[in-house]
Amino acid sequence: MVPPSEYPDLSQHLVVAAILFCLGLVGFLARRNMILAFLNAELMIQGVALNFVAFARYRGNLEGQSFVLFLLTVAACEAAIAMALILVLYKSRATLDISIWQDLREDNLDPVVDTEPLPLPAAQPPLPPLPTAGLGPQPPEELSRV
Amino acid sequence: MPPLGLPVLFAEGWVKNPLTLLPLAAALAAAFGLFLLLPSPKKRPRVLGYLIVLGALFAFVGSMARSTSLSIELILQQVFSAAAILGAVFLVTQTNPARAALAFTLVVLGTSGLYLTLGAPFLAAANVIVYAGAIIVTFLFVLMLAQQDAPSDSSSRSRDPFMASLTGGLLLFVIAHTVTGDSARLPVTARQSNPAPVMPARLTEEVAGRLDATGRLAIPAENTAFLGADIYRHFLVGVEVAGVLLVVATVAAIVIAQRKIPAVAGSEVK
Repeated sequence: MVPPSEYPDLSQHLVVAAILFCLGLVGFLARRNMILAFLNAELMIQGVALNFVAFARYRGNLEGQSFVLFLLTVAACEAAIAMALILVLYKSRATLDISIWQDLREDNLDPVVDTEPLPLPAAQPPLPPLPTAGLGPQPPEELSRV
Repeated sequence: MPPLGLPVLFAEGWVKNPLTLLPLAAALAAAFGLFLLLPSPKKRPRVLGYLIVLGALFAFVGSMARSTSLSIELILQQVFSAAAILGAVFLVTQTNPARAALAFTLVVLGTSGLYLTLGAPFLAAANVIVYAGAIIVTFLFVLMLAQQDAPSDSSSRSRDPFMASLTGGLLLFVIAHTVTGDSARLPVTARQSNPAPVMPARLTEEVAGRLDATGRLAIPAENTAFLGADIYRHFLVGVEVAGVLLVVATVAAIVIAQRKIPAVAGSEVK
Protein backbone atom coordinates (compact mmCIF):
# COMPACT_ATOMS: atom_id res chain seq x y z
CA MET A 1 0.00 0.00 0.00
CA VAL A 2 1.22 3.52 -0.78
CA PRO A 3 2.38 5.41 2.32
CA PRO A 4 0.08 8.31 3.23
CA SER A 5 2.47 11.08 2.33
CA GLU A 6 2.90 9.72 -1.18
CA TYR A 7 -0.75 9.05 -1.92
CA PRO A 8 -1.92 12.17 -3.80
CA ASP A 9 -5.62 11.84 -3.04
CA LEU A 10 -5.01 11.56 0.64
CA SER A 11 -2.55 14.39 1.15
CA GLN A 12 -4.55 16.91 -0.84
CA HIS A 13 -7.77 16.02 0.96
CA LEU A 14 -6.04 16.27 4.32
CA VAL A 15 -4.76 19.75 3.42
CA VAL A 16 -8.20 20.90 2.24
CA ALA A 17 -9.76 19.49 5.42
CA ALA A 18 -7.16 21.31 7.50
CA ILE A 19 -7.97 24.57 5.69
CA LEU A 20 -11.70 24.13 6.35
CA PHE A 21 -11.02 23.34 10.00
CA CYS A 22 -8.74 26.34 10.52
CA LEU A 23 -11.07 28.77 8.74
CA GLY A 24 -13.87 27.51 10.96
CA LEU A 25 -11.65 28.02 13.99
CA VAL A 26 -10.87 31.60 12.98
CA GLY A 27 -14.56 32.31 12.43
CA PHE A 28 -15.54 30.71 15.71
CA LEU A 29 -12.98 32.77 17.62
CA ALA A 30 -13.52 36.08 15.86
CA ARG A 31 -17.16 36.38 14.84
CA ARG A 32 -19.53 37.83 17.41
CA ASN A 33 -22.82 36.68 15.95
CA MET A 34 -23.95 33.57 17.85
CA ILE A 35 -25.50 31.96 14.78
CA LEU A 36 -22.34 32.55 12.77
CA ALA A 37 -20.27 31.05 15.56
CA PHE A 38 -22.30 27.86 15.26
CA LEU A 39 -22.09 27.90 11.48
CA ASN A 40 -18.33 28.04 11.85
CA ALA A 41 -18.42 25.10 14.25
CA GLU A 42 -20.32 23.20 11.55
CA LEU A 43 -17.56 24.21 9.12
CA MET A 44 -15.00 22.62 11.43
CA ILE A 45 -17.14 19.47 11.53
CA GLN A 46 -17.14 19.40 7.72
CA GLY A 47 -13.35 19.47 7.73
CA VAL A 48 -13.18 16.57 10.18
CA ALA A 49 -15.71 14.57 8.19
CA LEU A 50 -13.67 15.08 5.03
CA ASN A 51 -10.67 13.66 6.88
CA PHE A 52 -12.63 10.57 7.86
CA VAL A 53 -13.87 9.91 4.34
CA ALA A 54 -10.41 10.45 2.83
CA PHE A 55 -8.88 7.99 5.27
CA ALA A 56 -11.69 5.51 4.61
CA ARG A 57 -10.79 5.57 0.93
CA TYR A 58 -7.09 5.31 1.64
CA ARG A 59 -7.51 2.36 3.97
CA GLY A 60 -10.02 0.68 1.67
CA ASN A 61 -12.67 0.10 4.33
CA LEU A 62 -15.89 1.74 5.43
CA GLU A 63 -15.17 2.58 9.05
CA GLY A 64 -14.52 6.25 8.31
CA GLN A 65 -17.74 6.54 6.36
CA SER A 66 -19.70 4.88 9.17
CA PHE A 67 -18.20 7.34 11.60
CA VAL A 68 -19.24 10.26 9.40
CA LEU A 69 -22.84 9.00 9.45
CA PHE A 70 -22.86 9.19 13.25
CA LEU A 71 -21.12 12.55 13.04
CA LEU A 72 -23.95 13.88 10.87
CA THR A 73 -26.47 12.69 13.46
CA VAL A 74 -24.68 14.40 16.32
CA ALA A 75 -24.23 17.58 14.26
CA ALA A 76 -27.96 17.72 13.54
CA CYS A 77 -28.80 17.31 17.23
CA GLU A 78 -26.26 19.94 18.14
CA ALA A 79 -27.69 22.40 15.62
CA ALA A 80 -31.25 21.87 16.87
CA ILE A 81 -30.39 22.45 20.52
CA ALA A 82 -28.06 25.35 19.72
CA MET A 83 -30.75 27.10 17.71
CA ALA A 84 -33.24 26.67 20.57
CA LEU A 85 -30.74 28.11 23.04
CA ILE A 86 -29.88 31.02 20.75
CA LEU A 87 -33.58 31.76 20.35
CA VAL A 88 -34.01 31.94 24.13
CA LEU A 89 -30.93 34.15 24.51
CA TYR A 90 -32.18 36.44 21.73
CA LYS A 91 -35.58 36.76 23.39
CA SER A 92 -33.89 37.78 26.60
CA ARG A 93 -31.53 40.49 25.31
CA ALA A 94 -32.78 41.26 21.76
CA THR A 95 -29.33 40.88 20.22
CA LEU A 96 -27.29 38.04 18.75
CA ASP A 97 -24.03 39.59 19.99
CA ILE A 98 -22.01 37.17 22.11
CA SER A 99 -20.25 39.99 23.96
CA ILE A 100 -23.50 41.00 25.62
CA TRP A 101 -23.01 37.89 27.75
CA GLN A 102 -19.49 38.81 28.81
CA ASP A 103 -20.52 39.29 32.42
CA LEU A 104 -20.23 35.51 32.60
CA ARG A 105 -16.43 35.85 32.24
CA GLU A 106 -13.81 35.08 34.87
CA ASP A 107 -13.14 37.62 37.62
CA ASN A 108 -9.61 38.47 36.54
CA LEU A 109 -10.49 39.30 32.92
CA ASP A 110 -11.18 42.82 31.76
CA PRO A 111 -14.44 43.50 29.98
CA VAL A 112 -14.29 44.14 26.24
CA VAL A 113 -15.31 47.70 25.47
CA ASP A 114 -16.13 48.75 21.91
CA THR A 115 -14.59 52.12 21.18
CA GLU A 116 -14.87 52.44 17.42
CA PRO A 117 -18.26 53.76 16.33
CA LEU A 118 -20.24 51.56 14.00
CA PRO A 119 -20.44 52.71 10.38
CA LEU A 120 -23.62 54.55 9.58
CA PRO A 121 -26.22 52.58 7.64
CA ALA A 122 -26.14 53.27 3.94
CA ALA A 123 -28.33 56.24 3.01
CA GLN A 124 -31.57 55.29 1.30
CA PRO A 125 -31.95 56.66 -2.23
CA PRO A 126 -34.48 59.56 -2.31
CA LEU A 127 -38.01 58.71 -3.28
CA PRO A 128 -38.97 59.61 -6.86
CA PRO A 129 -40.87 62.93 -7.14
CA LEU A 130 -44.60 62.54 -7.60
CA PRO A 131 -46.87 64.90 -9.57
CA THR A 132 -48.91 67.34 -7.54
CA ALA A 133 -51.90 65.63 -6.07
CA GLY A 134 -55.41 67.10 -5.89
CA LEU A 135 -56.57 66.86 -9.46
CA GLY A 136 -58.47 63.76 -10.30
CA PRO A 137 -57.74 62.08 -13.59
CA GLN A 138 -60.13 63.09 -16.33
CA PRO A 139 -62.36 60.25 -17.46
CA PRO A 140 -61.79 59.47 -21.10
CA GLU A 141 -64.49 60.68 -23.37
CA GLU A 142 -66.73 57.98 -24.70
CA LEU A 143 -65.86 57.35 -28.27
CA SER A 144 -69.05 55.78 -29.49
CA ARG A 145 -72.25 57.81 -29.26
CA VAL A 146 -75.61 56.38 -29.96
CA MET B 1 10.18 8.41 15.12
CA PRO B 2 11.73 11.81 15.92
CA PRO B 3 10.09 13.93 18.61
CA LEU B 4 7.63 16.33 17.03
CA GLY B 5 8.25 19.88 18.11
CA LEU B 6 9.18 23.32 16.95
CA PRO B 7 12.93 22.60 16.67
CA VAL B 8 12.21 19.63 14.45
CA LEU B 9 9.73 21.63 12.40
CA PHE B 10 12.10 24.47 11.74
CA ALA B 11 15.66 23.23 11.99
CA GLU B 12 15.46 20.54 9.38
CA GLY B 13 15.40 21.75 5.87
CA TRP B 14 14.79 25.39 5.34
CA VAL B 15 18.38 26.52 5.77
CA LYS B 16 19.35 24.28 2.91
CA ASN B 17 16.16 24.70 0.92
CA PRO B 18 14.22 27.94 1.55
CA LEU B 19 11.34 26.64 -0.58
CA THR B 20 10.18 24.60 2.40
CA LEU B 21 9.26 27.90 4.04
CA LEU B 22 6.67 28.52 1.32
CA PRO B 23 3.79 26.80 3.17
CA LEU B 24 4.49 28.78 6.33
CA ALA B 25 4.60 32.03 4.38
CA ALA B 26 1.37 31.12 2.58
CA ALA B 27 -0.39 30.27 5.85
CA LEU B 28 0.70 33.55 7.44
CA ALA B 29 -0.34 35.51 4.34
CA ALA B 30 -3.74 33.85 4.46
CA ALA B 31 -4.01 34.82 8.13
CA PHE B 32 -3.17 38.43 7.28
CA GLY B 33 -5.76 38.48 4.51
CA LEU B 34 -8.36 37.08 6.90
CA PHE B 35 -7.47 39.83 9.35
CA LEU B 36 -8.16 42.38 6.61
CA LEU B 37 -11.47 40.72 5.78
CA LEU B 38 -12.96 40.08 9.21
CA PRO B 39 -15.70 42.63 9.87
CA SER B 40 -14.57 45.75 11.61
CA PRO B 41 -15.85 49.33 11.94
CA LYS B 42 -12.58 50.47 10.32
CA LYS B 43 -12.45 50.58 6.55
CA ARG B 44 -10.13 47.89 5.25
CA PRO B 45 -9.44 46.97 1.61
CA ARG B 46 -11.77 44.04 0.98
CA VAL B 47 -10.79 43.22 -2.58
CA LEU B 48 -7.13 43.12 -1.62
CA GLY B 49 -8.04 40.92 1.35
CA TYR B 50 -9.89 38.42 -0.85
CA LEU B 51 -6.99 38.35 -3.32
CA ILE B 52 -4.48 37.70 -0.52
CA VAL B 53 -6.54 35.01 1.23
CA LEU B 54 -7.55 33.06 -1.85
CA GLY B 55 -4.12 33.35 -3.48
CA ALA B 56 -2.38 32.28 -0.28
CA LEU B 57 -4.72 29.34 0.36
CA PHE B 58 -4.45 28.04 -3.19
CA ALA B 59 -0.67 28.49 -3.07
CA PHE B 60 -0.74 26.56 0.20
CA VAL B 61 -2.61 23.64 -1.37
CA GLY B 62 -0.34 23.82 -4.39
CA SER B 63 2.84 23.80 -2.31
CA MET B 64 1.63 20.65 -0.56
CA ALA B 65 0.50 18.89 -3.72
CA ARG B 66 2.31 15.88 -5.14
CA SER B 67 2.69 15.69 -8.85
CA THR B 68 0.21 13.30 -10.39
CA SER B 69 -0.93 12.55 -13.87
CA LEU B 70 -3.82 14.69 -15.04
CA SER B 71 -7.13 12.87 -14.94
CA ILE B 72 -10.78 13.81 -14.87
CA GLU B 73 -10.95 12.67 -11.28
CA LEU B 74 -8.12 14.99 -10.33
CA ILE B 75 -9.74 17.95 -12.09
CA LEU B 76 -13.07 17.34 -10.35
CA GLN B 77 -11.24 17.08 -7.07
CA GLN B 78 -9.54 20.44 -7.64
CA VAL B 79 -12.82 22.09 -8.61
CA PHE B 80 -14.68 20.81 -5.55
CA SER B 81 -11.79 21.69 -3.24
CA ALA B 82 -11.72 25.22 -4.65
CA ALA B 83 -15.49 25.55 -4.15
CA ALA B 84 -15.24 24.39 -0.55
CA ILE B 85 -12.36 26.74 0.27
CA LEU B 86 -14.06 29.67 -1.46
CA GLY B 87 -17.29 29.07 0.45
CA ALA B 88 -15.42 28.78 3.73
CA VAL B 89 -13.64 32.11 3.19
CA PHE B 90 -16.96 33.79 2.37
CA LEU B 91 -18.58 32.19 5.41
CA VAL B 92 -15.95 33.53 7.77
CA THR B 93 -15.82 37.03 6.32
CA GLN B 94 -19.37 37.96 5.30
CA THR B 95 -21.01 40.74 7.31
CA ASN B 96 -24.49 39.67 6.34
CA PRO B 97 -25.36 36.47 8.27
CA ALA B 98 -27.82 35.24 5.65
CA ARG B 99 -25.14 35.44 2.97
CA ALA B 100 -22.78 33.58 5.30
CA ALA B 101 -25.35 30.79 5.64
CA LEU B 102 -25.60 30.58 1.84
CA ALA B 103 -21.79 30.46 1.64
CA PHE B 104 -21.93 27.48 3.98
CA THR B 105 -24.17 25.77 1.43
CA LEU B 106 -21.34 26.19 -1.06
CA VAL B 107 -18.97 24.50 1.40
CA VAL B 108 -21.42 21.62 1.83
CA LEU B 109 -21.77 21.18 -1.92
CA GLY B 110 -17.99 21.25 -2.33
CA THR B 111 -17.36 18.64 0.34
CA SER B 112 -20.17 16.49 -1.04
CA GLY B 113 -18.47 16.57 -4.41
CA LEU B 114 -15.23 15.54 -2.74
CA TYR B 115 -17.11 12.63 -1.10
CA LEU B 116 -18.21 11.57 -4.57
CA THR B 117 -14.64 11.53 -5.86
CA LEU B 118 -13.67 9.59 -2.73
CA GLY B 119 -16.19 6.85 -3.47
CA ALA B 120 -18.80 7.79 -0.88
CA PRO B 121 -21.97 8.60 -2.84
CA PHE B 122 -24.31 7.79 0.04
CA LEU B 123 -22.51 10.20 2.33
CA ALA B 124 -22.53 12.86 -0.40
CA ALA B 125 -26.31 12.61 -0.67
CA ALA B 126 -26.77 12.50 3.11
CA ASN B 127 -24.52 15.51 3.50
CA VAL B 128 -26.51 17.56 1.00
CA ILE B 129 -29.85 16.49 2.50
CA VAL B 130 -28.93 16.96 6.15
CA TYR B 131 -26.75 20.04 5.90
CA ALA B 132 -27.89 22.01 2.88
CA GLY B 133 -31.47 20.84 3.30
CA ALA B 134 -32.13 20.83 7.02
CA ILE B 135 -29.47 22.54 9.06
CA ILE B 136 -29.06 25.57 6.79
CA VAL B 137 -32.82 26.05 6.72
CA THR B 138 -32.93 25.99 10.52
CA PHE B 139 -30.15 28.56 10.68
CA LEU B 140 -31.84 30.79 8.11
CA PHE B 141 -35.12 30.51 10.00
CA VAL B 142 -33.57 31.74 13.22
CA LEU B 143 -31.71 34.43 11.28
CA MET B 144 -34.98 35.69 9.87
CA LEU B 145 -36.50 35.82 13.35
CA ALA B 146 -33.59 38.00 14.43
CA GLN B 147 -33.27 40.09 11.32
CA GLN B 148 -31.24 43.28 11.60
CA ASP B 149 -30.74 45.62 8.66
CA ALA B 150 -28.41 48.26 10.06
CA PRO B 151 -24.79 47.48 11.01
CA SER B 152 -24.88 45.95 14.47
CA ASP B 153 -22.43 44.94 17.15
CA SER B 154 -23.00 41.30 16.35
CA SER B 155 -22.25 41.30 12.64
CA SER B 156 -20.07 44.38 12.02
CA ARG B 157 -17.50 43.80 14.74
CA SER B 158 -15.03 40.99 15.41
CA ARG B 159 -13.48 39.88 18.63
CA ASP B 160 -9.69 40.17 18.46
CA PRO B 161 -9.44 39.49 14.70
CA PHE B 162 -5.65 39.68 14.56
CA MET B 163 -4.96 37.06 17.20
CA ALA B 164 -7.75 34.82 15.89
CA SER B 165 -6.47 34.79 12.32
CA LEU B 166 -2.86 34.37 13.46
CA THR B 167 -3.92 31.35 15.53
CA GLY B 168 -5.72 29.89 12.55
CA GLY B 169 -2.77 30.41 10.20
CA LEU B 170 -0.25 28.83 12.55
CA LEU B 171 -2.55 25.90 13.30
CA LEU B 172 -3.07 25.38 9.57
CA PHE B 173 0.66 25.23 8.95
CA VAL B 174 1.29 22.84 11.83
CA ILE B 175 -1.55 20.47 10.87
CA ALA B 176 -0.60 20.42 7.19
CA HIS B 177 3.09 20.02 7.97
CA THR B 178 2.28 17.12 10.25
CA VAL B 179 0.01 15.27 7.85
CA THR B 180 2.00 15.80 4.66
CA GLY B 181 5.56 16.12 5.93
CA ASP B 182 8.11 13.36 5.97
CA SER B 183 6.50 9.98 5.96
CA ALA B 184 8.50 9.15 9.08
CA ARG B 185 6.16 11.25 11.13
CA LEU B 186 3.09 9.21 10.34
CA PRO B 187 2.86 5.53 10.96
CA VAL B 188 3.05 4.28 7.40
CA THR B 189 -0.10 2.26 7.58
CA ALA B 190 -1.77 0.53 10.43
CA ARG B 191 -1.21 -2.74 8.65
CA GLN B 192 2.53 -2.32 8.25
CA SER B 193 3.26 -0.76 11.61
CA ASN B 194 0.99 -3.18 13.41
CA PRO B 195 1.47 -6.56 11.77
CA ALA B 196 -0.68 -8.52 14.21
CA PRO B 197 -3.88 -6.53 14.57
CA VAL B 198 -6.05 -7.21 17.58
CA MET B 199 -9.23 -6.72 15.58
CA PRO B 200 -9.80 -9.24 12.83
CA ALA B 201 -9.23 -7.63 9.47
CA ARG B 202 -12.54 -7.15 7.74
CA LEU B 203 -11.47 -5.05 4.79
CA THR B 204 -12.60 -7.75 2.45
CA GLU B 205 -14.56 -7.28 -0.69
CA GLU B 206 -17.80 -8.62 0.75
CA VAL B 207 -17.90 -5.93 3.41
CA ALA B 208 -16.24 -2.89 1.92
CA GLY B 209 -17.30 -3.04 -1.71
CA ARG B 210 -15.65 -3.77 -5.01
CA LEU B 211 -11.90 -3.11 -4.93
CA ASP B 212 -9.89 -1.87 -7.86
CA ALA B 213 -6.46 -3.06 -8.99
CA THR B 214 -4.60 -1.04 -6.35
CA GLY B 215 -6.63 -2.50 -3.51
CA ARG B 216 -8.75 0.57 -2.82
CA LEU B 217 -12.51 0.93 -3.16
CA ALA B 218 -13.49 1.17 -6.80
CA ILE B 219 -15.23 4.23 -8.18
CA PRO B 220 -18.16 4.48 -8.71
CA ALA B 221 -18.65 2.79 -5.41
CA GLU B 222 -21.73 0.72 -4.82
CA ASN B 223 -21.41 1.56 -1.23
CA THR B 224 -24.89 2.25 0.11
CA ALA B 225 -25.65 -1.41 0.68
CA PHE B 226 -22.18 -2.05 2.00
CA LEU B 227 -22.39 0.91 4.34
CA GLY B 228 -25.70 -0.30 5.70
CA ALA B 229 -24.33 -3.77 6.21
CA ASP B 230 -21.24 -2.39 7.94
CA ILE B 231 -23.25 -0.19 10.29
CA TYR B 232 -25.79 -2.81 11.25
CA ARG B 233 -23.20 -5.52 11.63
CA HIS B 234 -20.60 -3.71 13.63
CA PHE B 235 -22.14 -0.59 15.08
CA LEU B 236 -25.65 -1.70 16.02
CA VAL B 237 -25.44 -0.26 19.53
CA GLY B 238 -24.22 3.01 18.04
CA VAL B 239 -27.27 3.17 15.77
CA GLU B 240 -29.59 2.66 18.73
CA VAL B 241 -27.77 5.31 20.76
CA ALA B 242 -27.95 7.73 17.82
CA GLY B 243 -31.71 7.19 17.63
CA VAL B 244 -32.10 7.90 21.34
CA LEU B 245 -29.93 10.99 20.94
CA LEU B 246 -32.14 12.31 18.14
CA VAL B 247 -35.31 11.84 20.22
CA VAL B 248 -33.74 13.51 23.25
CA ALA B 249 -32.50 16.42 21.13
CA THR B 250 -35.96 16.91 19.59
CA VAL B 251 -37.67 16.98 22.98
CA ALA B 252 -34.97 19.22 24.43
CA ALA B 253 -35.18 21.70 21.57
CA ILE B 254 -38.95 22.00 21.97
CA VAL B 255 -38.73 22.40 25.75
CA ILE B 256 -35.91 24.94 25.62
CA ALA B 257 -37.44 27.07 22.87
CA GLN B 258 -40.81 27.29 24.65
CA ARG B 259 -39.28 28.47 27.89
CA LYS B 260 -40.33 31.92 29.08
CA ILE B 261 -37.36 34.01 30.15
CA PRO B 262 -38.05 37.55 31.33
CA ALA B 263 -36.43 40.09 29.03
CA VAL B 264 -33.89 42.41 30.56
CA ALA B 265 -35.38 45.88 30.93
CA GLY B 266 -34.85 47.99 27.85
CA SER B 267 -34.02 45.14 25.53
CA GLU B 268 -37.40 43.72 24.61
CA VAL B 269 -37.64 42.17 21.19
CA LYS B 270 -39.53 44.55 18.97
